[in-house]
Amino acid sequence: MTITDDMLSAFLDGELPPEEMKRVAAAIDADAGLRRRAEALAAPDAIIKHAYSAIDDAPMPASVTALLADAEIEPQPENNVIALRARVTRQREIWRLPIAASIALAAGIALGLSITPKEGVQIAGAVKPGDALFAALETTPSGETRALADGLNAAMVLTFRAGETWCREFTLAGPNDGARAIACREEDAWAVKLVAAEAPAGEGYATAASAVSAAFDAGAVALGADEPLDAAREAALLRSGWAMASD
Amino acid sequence: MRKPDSALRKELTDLLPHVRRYAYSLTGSRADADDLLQATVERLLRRGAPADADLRKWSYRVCKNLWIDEIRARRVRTDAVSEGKIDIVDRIDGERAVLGAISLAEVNRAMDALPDDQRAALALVAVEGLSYAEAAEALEIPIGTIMSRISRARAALAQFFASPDAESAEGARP
Repeated sequence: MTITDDMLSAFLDGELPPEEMKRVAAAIDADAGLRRRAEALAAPDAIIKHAYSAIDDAPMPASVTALLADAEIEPQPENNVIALRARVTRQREIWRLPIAASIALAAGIALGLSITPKEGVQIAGAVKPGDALFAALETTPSGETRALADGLNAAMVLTFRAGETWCREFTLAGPNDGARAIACREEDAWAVKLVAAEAPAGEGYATAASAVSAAFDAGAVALGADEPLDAAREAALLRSGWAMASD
Repeated sequence: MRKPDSALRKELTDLLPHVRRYAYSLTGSRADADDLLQATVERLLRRGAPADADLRKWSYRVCKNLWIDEIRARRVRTDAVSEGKIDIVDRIDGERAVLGAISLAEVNRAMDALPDDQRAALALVAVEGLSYAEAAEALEIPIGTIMSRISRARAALAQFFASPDAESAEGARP
């Protein structure tokens, strides 16, 4: 059977019927020339994905977010998707978030949120060994939930690499409120990089909540959360105690 | 039935990074990508989308159609870039986008050499991660057409990126 470029290309995308996938895989295995051709066809994907994903780092143009924020319901921040650094200061204006913080405090765990009465919430801090959340971050596979205290659960969402560190997105759910957060593993602690309160159900804050959610998503993407590890690699990472060598 | 305006705005807000990356894959310039993104969002807000439409695919389609419409204007600008009149934003791009020895300018030269239909299909699958079925729906063409456009695009890019160094390394392999 002749293996055409069309078949190799569809093979690379996993788009052939199962039987043909096997046949092409076997043919590639048996023929070094065919393998080189498959490698050559695969190479451009990584190159263009890398080149064109670079725009993710740039702040969303204000003219575009303003278009979308133009809803008549409530005044909106003029720019609800912005660069990470700028966003951290802005978030205090958008949400005065007692919610994530109060969950942490009520449960007596150190989420690393230092609170001052006027400013709301500081979004940085460390989860240290000994905290229930630390253990949950260290050992819980994504997709699983760990009880931290009475009525407070942490659910791991995903794991990703951010430069030289590993980060995890997770959610906290208390009796009435919840929060989404991202923490990154540092030498002896998990540093909380982002926290967003989940809007209380039934309140009229849909607009503000979606701005927070968009800001969180933008921050998450800026950190690299749009390229999570698959389950197998994450499992290996958990087994290894978070060794940095990832491949 | 149209999607309610509030739902449309919320969904679009979540989709912005995807549509923007697609716009960048199509135009190869940040400034043009953001212009195209803005035009796409304006078009979607003005004309809306059917209530049952998958807004992500719908947005890609609008984006690609606008890009095709604007293509002549875009080419004028691209020519200015290749003559060396590059603005600072694009220069930063070039520095960041280096993968091995391949700069953004080279990636753009390779992508610009592709027929527009091939570029639009490859960007959806290789950069945005759509399946052939999803890409076919977004671009309103049969799956078989997606398959052959992507294959031809990859073959052309592979030839473009193949360097003499890579060739000799292959030859040295046992």
